[in-house]
Amino acid sequence: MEQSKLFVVIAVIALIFTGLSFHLMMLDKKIRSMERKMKDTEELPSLKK
Amino acid sequence: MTLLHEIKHLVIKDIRLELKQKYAINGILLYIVSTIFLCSLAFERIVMPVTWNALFWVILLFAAVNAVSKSFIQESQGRQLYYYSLASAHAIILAKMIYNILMMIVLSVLFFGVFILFLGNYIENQALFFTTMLLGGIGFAALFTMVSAIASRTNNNFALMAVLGFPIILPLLVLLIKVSKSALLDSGWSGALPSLAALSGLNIIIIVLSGLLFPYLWRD
Amino acid sequence: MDLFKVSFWKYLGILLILYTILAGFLIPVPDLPIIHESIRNLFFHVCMWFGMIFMFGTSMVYSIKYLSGFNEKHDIVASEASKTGIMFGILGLVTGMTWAKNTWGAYWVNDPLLNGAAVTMLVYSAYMVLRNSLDEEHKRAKVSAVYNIFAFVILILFLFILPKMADASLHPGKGKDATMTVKELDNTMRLVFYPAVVGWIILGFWFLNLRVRMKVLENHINSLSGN
Repeated sequence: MEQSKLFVVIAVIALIFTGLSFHLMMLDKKIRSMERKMKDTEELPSLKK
Repeated sequence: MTLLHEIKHLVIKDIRLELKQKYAINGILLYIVSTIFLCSLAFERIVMPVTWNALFWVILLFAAVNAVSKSFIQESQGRQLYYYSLASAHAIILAKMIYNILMMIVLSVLFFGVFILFLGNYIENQALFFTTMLLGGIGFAALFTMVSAIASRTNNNFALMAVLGFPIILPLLVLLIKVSKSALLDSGWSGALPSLAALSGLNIIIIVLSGLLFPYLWRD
Repeated sequence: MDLFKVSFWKYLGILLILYTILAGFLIPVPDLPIIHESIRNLFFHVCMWFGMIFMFGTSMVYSIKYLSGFNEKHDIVASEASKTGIMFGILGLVTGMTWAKNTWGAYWVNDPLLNGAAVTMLVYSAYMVLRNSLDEEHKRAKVSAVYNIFAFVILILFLFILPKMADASLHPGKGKDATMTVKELDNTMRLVFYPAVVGWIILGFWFLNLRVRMKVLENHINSLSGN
């Protein structure tokens, strides 16, 4: 009984951490797409010249 | 050679200015005497050497902040610009430090006398305590000179002086209290030597680091 | 920052910390007096301090870089790294305080390492206050870089020399009469401890990477709406 309780707690902690890392990966992806957009807007004035 | 020359003249200028106005030294002396008197009234009689020690360093620390903080803050921007056109940045910071160190040595010796007069002498090893106090005075002067240079670049500089200065003075203060406690409790020198070496090392590091970093502070 | 674009190291960090969580709670540990099973906190608490020192070190390196080239991006890295370091410091305090309550009986005791942690937090809070009190960007970058370098050097001396000179510490492996050092650490525990340190440091750099990129984007958007 004690053992299985322990496993549940560990599983919950591991799940929370997985969720956090998933969130970080999504954030990373979103930032990357915004960076790409930023590059496009930076290139516009240089095209005018 | 020119650096030494510049430093010499800047230090002499500061000393002359001080002797003429007698504003800072007198103000700080008054501060010290009244604080110590206040403590002697509040404590009536100090029972533990440890309390005596703590009180000594806290009052000296605040006196140092008050005395040194004016070094960069009180001079007007225009006058500072004038100095910068005359001397190199290294000369300016080193001259300020030397002047503040001299002032702190004078102040701490006077402070020591008044403190013992009002609150009694609990020291076992007088020479060790005196050495520690001088090293502490040098460290306070050097560190707060640099912090006052940093704080003078901001708008609300007097408040920042304490905020920026106290966290980085703590290492020095912890060492000082440790050595002076041993001077209060026993008369030997051998136990305090590593700490004294660490104190001197810390002082040298602070001075060298300030000399290296100060040029970046005023170049706009 | 091109190095940070490689993404495999991020996955490595996630895997290492997952391994730390699973193995850290499951491996057998030596049953030492007072600490007993709570020794597993070593895999989390101690790693926070490693992460913090690495972040503050990065912050100082980028402050030096800023002063030698006046590149605005280096200033952003320096400030974001110290923010990330403060986060690690708070986590280190929280994990340490709960551990202390359960082993030493109080949340806060007078100990050289705790004093060091408190001073570190104060120094970087002061750095943040200094940054906030300066409006002009270049001046802020320059003045805070000077304070950052100055404070970090003094802090390192405080953290690594003073605890060695202290008479005693409640922390194992510190002070003159050390009872346990990292060298004596149990072999199975080392199998988790070292990967854990690496994992948390990687996670710290990932946080830093994201924060810096977000800040750069934010500045860019502000400059667009300003025009």
